[in-house]
Amino acid sequence: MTSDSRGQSKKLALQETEAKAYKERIWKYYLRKNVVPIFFIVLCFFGGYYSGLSLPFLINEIITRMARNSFLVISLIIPILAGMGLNFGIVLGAMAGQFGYIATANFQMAGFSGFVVTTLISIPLSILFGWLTGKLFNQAKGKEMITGIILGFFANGIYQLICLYFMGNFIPIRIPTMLLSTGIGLRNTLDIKSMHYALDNLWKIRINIPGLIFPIIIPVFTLLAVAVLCVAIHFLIKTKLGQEFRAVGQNRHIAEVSGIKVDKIRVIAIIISTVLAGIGQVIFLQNLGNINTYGSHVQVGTFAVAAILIGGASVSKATIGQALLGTLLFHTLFIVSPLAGKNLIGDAMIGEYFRVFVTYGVIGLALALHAWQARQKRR
Amino acid sequence: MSFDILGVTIPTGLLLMFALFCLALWVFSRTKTGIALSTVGSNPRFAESSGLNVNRYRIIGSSISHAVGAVGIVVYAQSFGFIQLYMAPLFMAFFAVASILIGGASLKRATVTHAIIGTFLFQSILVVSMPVANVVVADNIADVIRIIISNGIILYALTRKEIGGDVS
Repeated sequence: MTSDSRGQSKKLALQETEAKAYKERIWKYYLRKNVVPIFFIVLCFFGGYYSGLSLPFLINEIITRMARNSFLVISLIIPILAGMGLNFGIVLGAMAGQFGYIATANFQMAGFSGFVVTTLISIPLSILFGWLTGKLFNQAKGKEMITGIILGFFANGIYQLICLYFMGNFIPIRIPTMLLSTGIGLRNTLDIKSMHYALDNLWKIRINIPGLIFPIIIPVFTLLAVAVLCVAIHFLIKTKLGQEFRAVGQNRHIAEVSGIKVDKIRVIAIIISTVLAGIGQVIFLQNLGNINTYGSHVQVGTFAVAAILIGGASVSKATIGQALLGTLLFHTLFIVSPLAGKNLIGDAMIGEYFRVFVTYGVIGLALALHAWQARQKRR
Repeated sequence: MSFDILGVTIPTGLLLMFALFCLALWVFSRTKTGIALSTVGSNPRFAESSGLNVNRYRIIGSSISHAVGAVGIVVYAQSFGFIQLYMAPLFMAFFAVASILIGGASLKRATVTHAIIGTFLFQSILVVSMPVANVVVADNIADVIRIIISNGIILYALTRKEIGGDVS
């Protein structure tokens, strides 16, 4: 062999090792980037195995929960793109949805038409709430998330004031069974059986699996609504408005200089998010069939945020896929964890505590990571 | 140690304890550590360049805050005679934050006087608002009012512009 060819083969070997190292690096990069979803997938499989649930039952539960929760989670995407972080203000949208239900229950509407009217009532309310939230967030730039959490508590106070002391007092309620025995204030649970499954029951596909009692039920229209929303968001991001959201999200000052009205865009982002959350809550409640008047909306924000973070989103970046994956994983964990806790340790509550711990842990971790990355970038 | 004046019971021990803590905080803010803490708070970069370990002082500050908070809820619980295990620690923070903000503190600056005035005003609002609210609408509304006021005040403080422009 001549020295020349030897040099060539050496070079080739070097290239090969370099390529290998590069591949490994890419692989490690993806692993590190997706560590949260991977961790939760493992956790879900682990929990699913130990819960002892049959697979069809699990799939059924997952489909139901996906259908009723995805809408709320997807509503978080646009504010994230617009650089406003995780919008905890969707609690206000949920309240708008509940006000819609209170109105329709008051006029004894039923079925699909009742559902449509509820949605139509909730939309202007959530536009109003979203506008106010957006104005508030513009006053507190850079602190949107904590402001959103506090706003949720504040709005909950006003909501209680209206529902507990104004309903039946200043606001006439026709149906006495909705009110407490004193005649003032709504009952703890509001029955909306007349609108139970209003959307789900339009078209349900039942798939019978031989050898099993329960068929797998797919609520087509609810899932279709989610799909339409996904497509709509996908196209919205591609439009001029969507590009403006992203420009504002990347750098507020540069966006302002290039002629985008930053404050207006931010308010629009929050309005869209709040309206979607309102519709999401309406869909959520038609599936449940009754409203916990003072409790249904409280945890909407934290649950949706936890779901999207589990899907691998961060404070500044989120996609529809992450939202859907997150909903899937979060709610699988929801179904599985009490049973797994019971089977492993002998107490259902242990699994429940573990789930709560994981939920808030994930939110805290995501926020800390975001702060850390922001500091790294500034250096 | 409590005595009555004109039909008002004055809990001496509680007040003395409170005064002691105020004094302790006042003294602490004059020590070397205290001054270093406030330097770190008002300008972290200046503090770093004058040789202070910023992270260390931040940790010291939050540790002291937690410790005083723990003593606070012990005092609070002993004057009630029972403890609420699950939700009380969560809501205590909101009312405390709201009180000090009503007293005139901002996110950057707070003194013992702010805390005293704030607590006085916040609790007075609650005491006074109860009968008024009871006339306007039905029975016990104080709890809801308390939630609205405290969170509203916190929101107000969050939306105030700080000196030095907006945070990005």
